[in-house]
Parts: sequence; structure tokens; C-alpha cells
Amino acid sequence: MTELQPEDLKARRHRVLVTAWILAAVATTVFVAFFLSGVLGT
Amino acid sequence: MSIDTTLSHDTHDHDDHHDHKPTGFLNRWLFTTNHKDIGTLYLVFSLLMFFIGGSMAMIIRAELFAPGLQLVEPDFFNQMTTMHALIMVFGAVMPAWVGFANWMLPMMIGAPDMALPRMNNWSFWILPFAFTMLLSTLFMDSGGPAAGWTLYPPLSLQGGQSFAFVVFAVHMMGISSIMGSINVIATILNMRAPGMKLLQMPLFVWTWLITAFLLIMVMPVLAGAVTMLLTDHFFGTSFFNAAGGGDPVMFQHIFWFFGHPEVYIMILPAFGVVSEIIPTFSRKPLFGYSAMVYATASIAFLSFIVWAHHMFTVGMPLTGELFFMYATMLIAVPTGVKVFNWVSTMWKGAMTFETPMLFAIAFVVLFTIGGLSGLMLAIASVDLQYHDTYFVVAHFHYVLVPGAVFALMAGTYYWLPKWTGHMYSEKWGKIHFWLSTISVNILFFPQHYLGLAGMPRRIPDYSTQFADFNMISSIGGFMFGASQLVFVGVIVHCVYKSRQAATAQVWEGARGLEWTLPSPAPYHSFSEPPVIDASTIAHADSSH
Repeated sequence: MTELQPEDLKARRHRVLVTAWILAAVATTVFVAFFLSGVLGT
Repeated sequence: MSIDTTLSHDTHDHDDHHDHKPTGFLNRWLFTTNHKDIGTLYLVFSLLMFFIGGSMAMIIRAELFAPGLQLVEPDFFNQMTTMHALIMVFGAVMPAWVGFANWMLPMMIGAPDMALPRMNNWSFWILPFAFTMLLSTLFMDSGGPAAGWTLYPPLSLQGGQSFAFVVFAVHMMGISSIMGSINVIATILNMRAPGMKLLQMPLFVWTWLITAFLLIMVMPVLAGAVTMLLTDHFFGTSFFNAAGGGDPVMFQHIFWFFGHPEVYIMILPAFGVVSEIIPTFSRKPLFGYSAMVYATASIAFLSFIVWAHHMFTVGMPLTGELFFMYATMLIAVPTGVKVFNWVSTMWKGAMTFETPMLFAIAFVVLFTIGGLSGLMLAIASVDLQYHDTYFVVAHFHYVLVPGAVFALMAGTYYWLPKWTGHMYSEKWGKIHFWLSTISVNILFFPQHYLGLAGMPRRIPDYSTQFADFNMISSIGGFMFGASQLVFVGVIVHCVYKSRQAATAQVWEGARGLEWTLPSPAPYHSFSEPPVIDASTIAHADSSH
């Protein structure tokens, strides 16, 4: 077993949140883009 | 467990294993943030959905047992085909894989839990509401959706008020899937044990990482498509209404841009499970580990550029037909790499044939049959004959039932001792395997002939020339349905009655971090990250 230091955990938490927000932004962008493609196409 | 508590959990003293579970039913299951509990919830939910969707399949096969209208009205038959597909795809197979991901990913990468445990709880608990809403449409005046799971307009727009419930249910399923995917990616990229490189991860982890990216890219597309259907139906827009200047064919393009990657969302984790099982029972490292990873990524990429092979009969420019035909055929190359590597892993291995291995071998053989009929369908000129016939039904059921569902069963038998701490009954597992394998072929193989003879799909009645093969298929269907009761019996017996304790490694040839934990896996595992070395890497001896 290896022990993680508090600063490692804080950095990991930051990376998790950044990853999650980037992915959420990608998903939202795809939804908006496809919806707009229908709007612009008509 | 939130991120904060996950992290504080990590910093607890080594001796503080606090393996206690929350007390009280609600605390344990409704408010749980434990990846194993949420995994169990997903698996139990998907099993329930398998039986609900399976009951609808029994109604379909009972109606088709003989020519003529036998049991149900045609409109109800259409509701059954539509709901069967929606429930099996979104309620059974996808949640089952998320259940596997929840249970296994943290244990396979040496993490204490998923990265976002509260969101994990929410991802699951959306689903029962979504499917209650979807199933409730069957009891509404206008009935359930009846235009097929593809929801093509203008037919889908001719449904009644219940259509709004269907769209909202699809939105909720999509939100659940996207949140689950974000969790999977955040976990795999950030929570691996120190020293575990990406190309040291187990194949199941790799396939789920790629699947999660597929989900993030395509579920919003489905959400956009059904939102446009919703506004066309209820708010007077004309996205897909030709009378208002819209284009119904545009819906098909958008739907299949989601729909084809969706097929791989259901099958890539199956590739991962089979890639874990075959080396274990062949007592050999996986042949061509890196090639398997790259093949999975290639399949995922190609899945985005083949969608219009579902639409050859709609009409498109010749160059379009050629592009989509050849791009589709190209998928056979990385898929062939996978099949070759599985066979090569078994080659000259010290193989034994426990139930997980039997299901994995059946997967390789029967999924390949589904893949080959897919290649036939990829030929644009030939597809004009096959399109919307039972040949297509046979093809995708071979991919999804002895493909994805068999892999789910293989994975269940493989990891059940780790989950429960007990061995299942090998005798009854094998009985389940043989009953399922024989009956699934009786069920679906005759449908190839029906399709080639011209029997259209999604009809409650048919010409008498198709009677014999339909009767055989229905008998196979009833057998397959009944066989799954054995599966439930084996699981229930293993959980509650089995007296044979499972060891930590369970299987002699098993490799990887999950097998370093005791069986059953403790409620909180890997409080401190494990040391990564050749003995704890699942495919350490694989040629890279």
C-alpha cells in the first residue's frame, strides 16, 4: 500500500472536477449544436 | 460519499477499515454513495427490466407463433415491439454495463470509489422514474409508443398525448447515462492507483473508458432529436414535418448518428469482459493487449462515420452509398483483430470450461455470426433486398443477445463469487449455459431464412409460407425466456444459500487488482492505493 498525501488528494480532487466540467460542457455543446442544426436547417 | 468524503476516507488510518454498512434500508440503498451498492442497484434494476422487456418479447413471439391475428391487436403489437426495444436497450443492457462499471472499475484500478459518488447515486435513481414514466404510457388512452424504437416521424408524431412522457423518459435516461459517463471518465483518468499507466489498465477498464466517451458524444444528439420531435408534436414547429418545410429524413440522419454508436456502447464493454475471462481460463496472457486497445478505439471512431448504412433505402447520392458501405466494411478489420486475438489467447492454453468461459466462447462464435450478417447488410445494393426484413432482426439480435447479453452473463458468473463471497452452482450454471445457447439459436437463426424469404419486420401477421420458421423461432423464444429463470435461481442460490466460500483469487488463472481483495470485496476497498507491479497488473505479460 502507498499513502497519498493531503496535497495529492487536493490536486486529485481538482483534476476530477476539471474533468467533469469539461465533459459536461462537451455534452451540452453537442446537444445545443444538434438542436441548432435543426433550427438553422429550416 | 462526496468527493470530500472520498478524500477524507483516503486519509483514514490504515487500521481503520470501517467496513460497516449504513444501517436501515433507506440509508443503505436510497442514499447510498458506495460504488458497490450502486452497482448492485443497477444490476438488480437491469435484471428486472430484462424480464419486463422479455415478457414483451414473449407476447411478440406468441403472436407470431402462427399466421393470422392470434392474441393481440396490431396496434398493441406495435407498442410491444417498440417498448421491448426501448426497455432492452436503455433499461436492461446499458444499465447492466453501468452496474458492472460501478462494481468493477474502482476495484480494477485500485480506487476507493467512483470519483463523484453523489452524482453516481443520482445517475441511478433517475432511472426507475424514467422507466415508470415510459411504462405508464401503456395504460394511457393513446397507448405506448408504437412507431418503433427509432421513433421515425411522421409516424411517431401521429401518437397521442403519451408521446410527451416517452420523450421525457428518454431525456431522463440520457441524463443518467451522461452523468454516469462523466463519472466513469473522471474516475479512470484521475483515480488510478499511483503507477498504473493507461496501457496497464485491464481491458474492461479500457473498453468502458472508450464507451463513456461515445456516450458523452451521442446521448445529447438523441436528446436534441427527441426534443425536436416534442416541439413538432406539441408546439407546432416543423423540424421534421414536410408540410411545414421540414425534412423527415433529417431525423433519420440525426437518430442514426446517435443510434449506430449506441450499438457499440452496448458491445464494447462486452469485448472488455470477454478479454478478461478468456485469458483467465486459458491460463495465458491476453494475446496482443495493445492491439486490443487500439482496435477498440478504432471501432469507436468508425462508429461515428457509418450511420447512413441504416438508410440505404431512403436514397442518397452514389458517392454517399459507396462511402458508408466501405466505411462500414472497414469496421470488420479491428473487429477481426479482436476475434483473432481471443482465439490466439486460447491457442495452446491450458483451457478449462467453467461457466464464464463457456459463455465467453459462445460469445466469440455467435457474435461473429452477427458480425458477418452485418457485413452482408453493409453491401448497399444487397441491403435494398434485406432492409426491414427479419434478416435485420436476426442480425442485430445475434449481436445483442448471444453478444452483449451472453457477455453480461459471462461477467456475472465470473465476478459473482467476488461480489457475494460464495461460489455459484457450477452444475446449474452449465445447465443455464446450454439451455440458453441451444434456445437462442433456435430463436434467432431461422429468422435469417425468414428475412431472406422476404418476411418484413414489425408485423403481427404474415403469409403462410413463413409459418414453419416462425413456429420454430417462437419455440426457441419460449425456451430462452424460461432458461433465464435458471439464471435467476443460480444467482439467488449463490447470494443466499451457497455454502461454498470463495477465495480471494476465485479463479486459478485470474490476474488483476480486484483479485487481491478478499471475497466478498469489503464495503470500502483500497482505502490506501495498492502498489502496482507485475503481479497486480491484469495483462502484465501481454506483448505490447
